[in-house]
Amino acid sequence: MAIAETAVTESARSRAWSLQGNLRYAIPYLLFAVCWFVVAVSVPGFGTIPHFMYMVVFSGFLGMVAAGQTVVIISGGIDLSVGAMVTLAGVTITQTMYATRFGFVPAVALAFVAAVLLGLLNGAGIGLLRIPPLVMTLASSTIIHGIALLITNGTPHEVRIPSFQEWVVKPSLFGINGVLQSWIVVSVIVLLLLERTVYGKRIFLSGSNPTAALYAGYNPRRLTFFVYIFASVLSAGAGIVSIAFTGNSYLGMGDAYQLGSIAAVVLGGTSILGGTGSYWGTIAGALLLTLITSVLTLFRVSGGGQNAVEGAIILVLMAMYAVGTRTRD
Amino acid sequence: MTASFVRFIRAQVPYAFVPAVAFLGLSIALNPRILTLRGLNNLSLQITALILVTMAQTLVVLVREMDMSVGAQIGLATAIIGTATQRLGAGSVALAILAAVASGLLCGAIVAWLRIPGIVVTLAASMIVGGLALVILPQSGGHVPPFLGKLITGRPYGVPNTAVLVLLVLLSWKFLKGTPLGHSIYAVGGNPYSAFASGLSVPRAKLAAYAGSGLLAGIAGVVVAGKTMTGDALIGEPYTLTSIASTVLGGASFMGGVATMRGAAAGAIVMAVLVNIMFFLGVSTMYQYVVEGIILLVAVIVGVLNQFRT
Repeated sequence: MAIAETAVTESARSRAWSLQGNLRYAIPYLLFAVCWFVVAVSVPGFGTIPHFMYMVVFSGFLGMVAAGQTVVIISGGIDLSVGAMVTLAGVTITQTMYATRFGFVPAVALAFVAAVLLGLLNGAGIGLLRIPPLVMTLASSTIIHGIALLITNGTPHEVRIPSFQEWVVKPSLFGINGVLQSWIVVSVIVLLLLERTVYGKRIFLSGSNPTAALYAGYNPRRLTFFVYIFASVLSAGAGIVSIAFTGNSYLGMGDAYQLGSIAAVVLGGTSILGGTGSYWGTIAGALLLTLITSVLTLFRVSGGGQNAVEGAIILVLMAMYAVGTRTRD
Repeated sequence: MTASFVRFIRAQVPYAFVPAVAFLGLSIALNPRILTLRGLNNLSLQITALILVTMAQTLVVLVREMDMSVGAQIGLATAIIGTATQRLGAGSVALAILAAVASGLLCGAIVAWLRIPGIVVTLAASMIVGGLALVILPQSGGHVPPFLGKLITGRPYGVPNTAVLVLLVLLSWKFLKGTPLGHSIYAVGGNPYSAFASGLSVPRAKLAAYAGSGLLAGIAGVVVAGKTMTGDALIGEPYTLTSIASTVLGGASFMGGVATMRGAAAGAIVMAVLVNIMFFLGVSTMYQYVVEGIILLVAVIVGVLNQFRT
C-alpha cells in the first residue's frame, strides 16, 4: 500500500511539473486574461479595478459550488444536485428563521444537516446501489427541488440578518468582503485536500482507475460518500452566503449552478472522465464563465442564448482537451 | 408443454409488462371511462411521446451511452413547428425532425470519434439545443399545422393513430434489429472490445444509435406539438429524466447490449400511467416533484437490482 501511494504521488508530481500538465491549467487563465483584455478595451465600464473586484466577488459563488464539483468529477463522478442544494440551503434559512422563531445559527445548522443528508443519499445510491452518478443526482435534484417548492409554496422571501449580511457584503479583512473570504477559505481547503493529502491522491486514483484503487485497499464506498457530502456541504455554504449577498431567497436561485459548475470545472481543464484535474483550473474557469455571462447579459442575450453559448463553450473545450490528450494512448 | 410455454413467455415478454398491466388495470378501476374509444385514444395520446422518447433513450443505452438531450430535442422540435409553420406549412414538421436528427448526429459524431462520454456531450448539447429552442420561441405559442393535430389525435375505425405510430416504430425496429447495423449496435453495447476485434465499427454503431435517438425524439416532439397544438421550448424538459427511468424499468442495462424495444414501451407505459393514477388519487401538484423524483429513484433502484440478479 505504501508503495502504491508513493507511486501515485510521484506520477502526479511529475505530471504536474511537465509542460503539458502546467499548460493544461494555464490555458483557462490565459483565456480569461485575453477575454478580459478584449472586453476591457471594447466595453465602457469594464476594465476598472472596482469592476474587476466585483466580478471576482461574483465568481465566488460559482467558485465555491464548483469546488465540490471539481472533487466529485476528479473522483470519477458528477453531481447535478448542487444547484438544487444551493436553493434548498437558501430557502431553509429564510423559512426556519421567519416561520419559526429560531435564530440564524440553528437555521444554518439545519441547512448543513440537509446538505449532509443529500450527500448521504447520493453516496448511498452511487456507492452502494451503483446507480450511475448522473442519473442518481438528477433524481435527487428533482426531489430537493420539490422539497424547496413544498417549503416555500413558491414565494420568494426577503433576508434580514444584519450582522451576517454586513460581513458578507462590506470589505473587512484586507479590504475584501465575506464572499471572497469564504471563497479563499474554500479554495485553500480544496487545494490542500487535492494536492497535499493522501486522501486527495486517493480521490485522483479512484477517478483514474477504480479497479486499481480497490486493489490498493481503499474503501471506494467511503470515498464516494465523502465526495458527495463534500460537494453538497459546499453548495449549501454558497447558498447561505448568496442569500445574504442578494438579500432574498427564491426558488430557482441555484438553477444556474447545476450546469454552470460543470462548465467551470471543464473550462478549468479537469478531465470529465475523472482522474486528472486541478482546482486551480476551476478557479479560472469560474472567473471566465462569470465574465462571459456578464458580457452576454450586457448585450441583452436572453437566457436561452446564454445557455446555448455556455453549452457550446463546454463542448468545444471538452473536444479540445480530448484531442489534446489523445496522443497519450 | 406448459413448461416450454412458460419459458417462451418468459423469454418474449419483458418483466415490465407485469407492472404495466397492473397499473393500467388500476387506472381503469379508478376511471372506467378509459375503456371507451375516446378514453383509449386519450390514453394513447398521453403515453405515445414518452414511449418514443424511451425508445430513443433505450437505443443509446444499448451502445453503453446515455442521451441527456432528448428532452431538449423535443422542445426544439415543437419550437420549430410553432415558428416555421406560417412560412413553410407542413414542411415545418420535416424541418423539426431534421433538426433533431442533426443534433443527434452531431452528438454521436463527437462521442464516437473524440471518445468523450456521451452523458456529458449530450448534457452540453441539451444546453445548446434547449437554448436555441428558447431563442427561436421565447414564449410558448406559435402555429401548428392543423393537419398535424388531426393526424395525431385521429382515430379512424376507433384505432388511435398514435398507437399505430408506436406499432410502426416497433415493427421497423424488429426489421432493423436483423440487419448488420442492428447486430453491431447490440454487439458494441455488449462488449465494445470484442465487437472491435470482430471487425465491427464501434464509432459507426454509436453514431447510428445517436442519430436514431434524435429521430425518435424528433418524432416525439411532433407528437407533442400535434397533441398540444402549440410550440413550447420547455415542454420537453421533464422527458429526459423520465425516459431514463422508464428505460431502466423496461429492462435495459446501463452496461449496454441488453434491451428490447417492447420492454422500453412497457416501461414508458408504467411511468406514464403512474402520473395518471396520481392525478386521480388527488395528489396535490405541489407534491408532484417530490413524488416523481422518488418514483424515478425507486424505478432506477429496482432496475439496477434486477440487473444484479440476472
